[in-house]
Amino acid sequence: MVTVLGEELPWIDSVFQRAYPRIRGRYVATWLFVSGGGILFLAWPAQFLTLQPLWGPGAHDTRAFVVTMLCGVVITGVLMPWAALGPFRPIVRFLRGDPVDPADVWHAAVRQVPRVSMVSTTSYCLVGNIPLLLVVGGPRGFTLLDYLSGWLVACLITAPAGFFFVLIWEVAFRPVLREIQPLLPADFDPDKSWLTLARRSALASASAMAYTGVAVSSLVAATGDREIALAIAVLATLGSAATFGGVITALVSHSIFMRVDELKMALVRIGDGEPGVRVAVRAGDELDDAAMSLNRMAERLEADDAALRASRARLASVADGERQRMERDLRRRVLVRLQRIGAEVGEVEARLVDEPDLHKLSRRARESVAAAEVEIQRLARGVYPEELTVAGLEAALSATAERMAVPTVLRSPGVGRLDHARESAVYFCCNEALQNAAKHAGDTATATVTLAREQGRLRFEVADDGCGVESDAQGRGMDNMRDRVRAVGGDLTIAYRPGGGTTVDGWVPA
Amino acid sequence: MSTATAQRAGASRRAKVRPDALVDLVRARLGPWYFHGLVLATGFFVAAVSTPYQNLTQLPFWTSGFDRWWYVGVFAALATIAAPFAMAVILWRHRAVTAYLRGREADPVLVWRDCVTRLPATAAIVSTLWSGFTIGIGLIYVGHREQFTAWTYAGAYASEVLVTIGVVAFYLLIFELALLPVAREVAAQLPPDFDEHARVTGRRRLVLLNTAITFTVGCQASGLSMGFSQDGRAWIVALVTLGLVSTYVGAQLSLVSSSVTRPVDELSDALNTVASGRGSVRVPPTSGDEFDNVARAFNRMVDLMDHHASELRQSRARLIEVADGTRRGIERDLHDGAQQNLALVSMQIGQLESVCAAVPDVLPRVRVVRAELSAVVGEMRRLAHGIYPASLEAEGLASALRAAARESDVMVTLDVAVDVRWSHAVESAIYFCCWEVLDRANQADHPDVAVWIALREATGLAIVDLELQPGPEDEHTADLTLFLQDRLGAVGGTVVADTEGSGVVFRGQVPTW
Repeated sequence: MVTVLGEELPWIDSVFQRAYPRIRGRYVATWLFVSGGGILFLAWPAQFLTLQPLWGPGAHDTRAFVVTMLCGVVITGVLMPWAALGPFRPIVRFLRGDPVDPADVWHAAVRQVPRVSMVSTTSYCLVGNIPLLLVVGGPRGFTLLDYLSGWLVACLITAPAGFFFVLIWEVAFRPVLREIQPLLPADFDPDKSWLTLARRSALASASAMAYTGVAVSSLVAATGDREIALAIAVLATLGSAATFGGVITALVSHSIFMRVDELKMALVRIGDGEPGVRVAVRAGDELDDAAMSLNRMAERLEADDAALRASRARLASVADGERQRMERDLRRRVLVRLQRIGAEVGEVEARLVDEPDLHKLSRRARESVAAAEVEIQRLARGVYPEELTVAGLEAALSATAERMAVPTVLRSPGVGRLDHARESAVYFCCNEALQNAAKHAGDTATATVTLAREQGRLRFEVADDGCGVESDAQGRGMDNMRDRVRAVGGDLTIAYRPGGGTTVDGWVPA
Repeated sequence: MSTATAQRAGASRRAKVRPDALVDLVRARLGPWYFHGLVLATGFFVAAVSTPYQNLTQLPFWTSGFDRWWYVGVFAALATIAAPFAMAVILWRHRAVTAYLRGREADPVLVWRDCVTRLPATAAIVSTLWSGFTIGIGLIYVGHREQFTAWTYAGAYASEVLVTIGVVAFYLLIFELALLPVAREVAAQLPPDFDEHARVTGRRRLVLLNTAITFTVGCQASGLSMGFSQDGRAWIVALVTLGLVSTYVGAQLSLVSSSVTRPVDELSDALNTVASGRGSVRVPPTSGDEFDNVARAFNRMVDLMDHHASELRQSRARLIEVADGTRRGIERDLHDGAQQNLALVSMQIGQLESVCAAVPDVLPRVRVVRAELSAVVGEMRRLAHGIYPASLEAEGLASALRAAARESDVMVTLDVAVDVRWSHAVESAIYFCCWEVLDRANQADHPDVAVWIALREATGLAIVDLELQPGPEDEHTADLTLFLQDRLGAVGGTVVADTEGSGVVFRGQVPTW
């Protein structure tokens, strides 16, 4: 089975893909550490600073900042690992080389990511944002409604950041998925996921919008000056759209269209006749249906193709069998009895030596019987050469070469025997090619038949040094030869060199 | 090629996508004036809703609070004045699709472009002109009264433009959604080598739309929040952001489900159709994005597979044709050569016998020879018949089957209700199927084996029923079924095997054209 993956990795995927083999053993821990660090030292202080203008002027903000950071340390150091390590355990064990069900690993890398992110985001919203608001609200004399609105606004920044991490973690786990995909059972059927592509895309927009709206409004509140407010609004919006909005949507649209590209590549390769092409069934979203349909279709097409090939092979072998049977019947049921009759007529002739008229009559009858014998013998050989059944390809071809009108040399350094179907396919092709040579190559032509075993194949070549001109009859004969050889899994080519002869070159699996 | 199948298959799922149902409804109501209606509605909404709202959010940037609310009215009036020109530009640029909708002659390629690839450019042109006029004149009016500095002008203008970009993206999205059904209708009439891609692919479009809409949110939310005192500000920020998010996300969800879910569903349907062997389908490229590449790859694959399968079928048919030809040749050789020789021998032995009456010690021998010879001649005839009955070509299937039945050792009942001749390939395929069944019956070690052969014709089909009573063992039945399937399959026919009582019936059908 060939699992089709997108052709070229986008830069963000290739970053993770390159890091993956180097830190494989501690992959999950490393990224948890990096994400935790990013949140704690970048996102969390940034959120505090962004929201500060919105609370209005107040004292003790340094204390509030310290409290916030302490909450951040607790969540990032305790709650987040606690939420993540359990669900991601199958991945950790897989990467450590412990025996683990691939379906569990898949489940952890695909399904658990949104859950882990949701738990982490919730803990930042509850354990982080509520203490933060309590600390900053006290000195500013917040009412209950102020607390509520302040908390809502803070969560509008925290939640998009959480979704951002869903997307990043999905990219981070893709190298694991690439490794696990071939190990999944063939009938692996991921049930429907809530986080479909359409919803994912909507969530991406919502995140970018919510983050930008809140962040820019809050920053603008820092000033009462018209020009500065406008400048902040424009620049902060542009910055936020370019970074947060751009990155998030790029990730989402990448995750949608990467899989579309995979489908396309798979279709192209199936069309080109590559066997065993399948696409990975991924995340229980809209494209999984198409992926499963594609795999089903590929199986069906392969089965149809195999059935048709098998049918052709059977028909060819039935036709061979019939010829063999005809030959046997002609010999055993007709020729043998005819020989007996010939012997008896001979005896009758011997007894009639004294009577010239009768003797002459019986001699003529004996001669006619002998002629019939020769005729049937010739016929039987044409139907299916006895040598082919008894002694194999080389014997049959050398007998044929001797009888051919065109002088023929056989070169076959001990090719041995194959099964009936392949031997007779090769025999009849060579025979047909030699007959063509006798008919079309010209009077002075000679032919060479070469048999050779190489790389699990039996190669055969019939070359003449005649005029090398293609005729219609030869074209049809060529089709027939090719059908015969392809029916046993081989192939054949024919080359005409005007003035330089015709070469039929083919092979069958040996 | 049944393009319709794929479309029907997709249509079965369309009802689930709600915006599509709305589009269908509106289209049914407006009929030929669908596009005009769309443009008119857009003009009305821009002038009456989105321009006033947009400038309401910017108002606090210019003056403190919302006291001079009538500035908004100035912008709305300016938008209304510009609206007819903007609508005219849209209608002129998309005249192919209006012509198509009104039933006039239109080049499908142009209509498709109007619905898919030309929309972003139209949006850019129209919004630049329209909002340039409205925002430019409006801001000069406001700035004059509010003593704007050059920096204020620049900031206010930039903020307005950022908001406009998002609004335009929203309308663009609506237009794409509304024109998608038309694009799909036209796609079926596109030339087969049509290979045009939208420059704004699905990947880029998502990024562009989201960036654009983020511009709007940032500038609108911050503008509004400026208008409120410290107390209400957090509420305004939260509510405005949430409101904008939900409006836009709703539209975006429908767009994504239209531009992702539907092509995926269609593709799945087409793949399933191929997977279940219900004939070959094609998926028309409709949207100019990545899915069109998939559709093209799919169509090319189906073409190649069809070609490949028909090659194989032809190869199989040729094999049979050659094998049958060879048998016929052998039979002719037997008839013209060996059988003539034997006839001569028979005659000579007959003469010998008649003149040998005078030689008593030889006569019995000659008689033995003669008896043996006639046995050989009989054997020859039988053999020739098994190889290829001469009567099949000359007199047809019925006569050949009667001869085969006569020579068979088992009880054969023939029920042939056919008085036409079929093609040679069909007749010999059926004949050799019957012959094979007779042959197997002859070989069966059963005293009262019986064979029924029924042959009839029904509209373009040759129907042959072969009953073997009692049936052979299961593995032989399977083997025989395979043989019959191969033989009739090579001429496009089918066979099924049924057990009936202790016997087996093979029901075969072969197309006779």
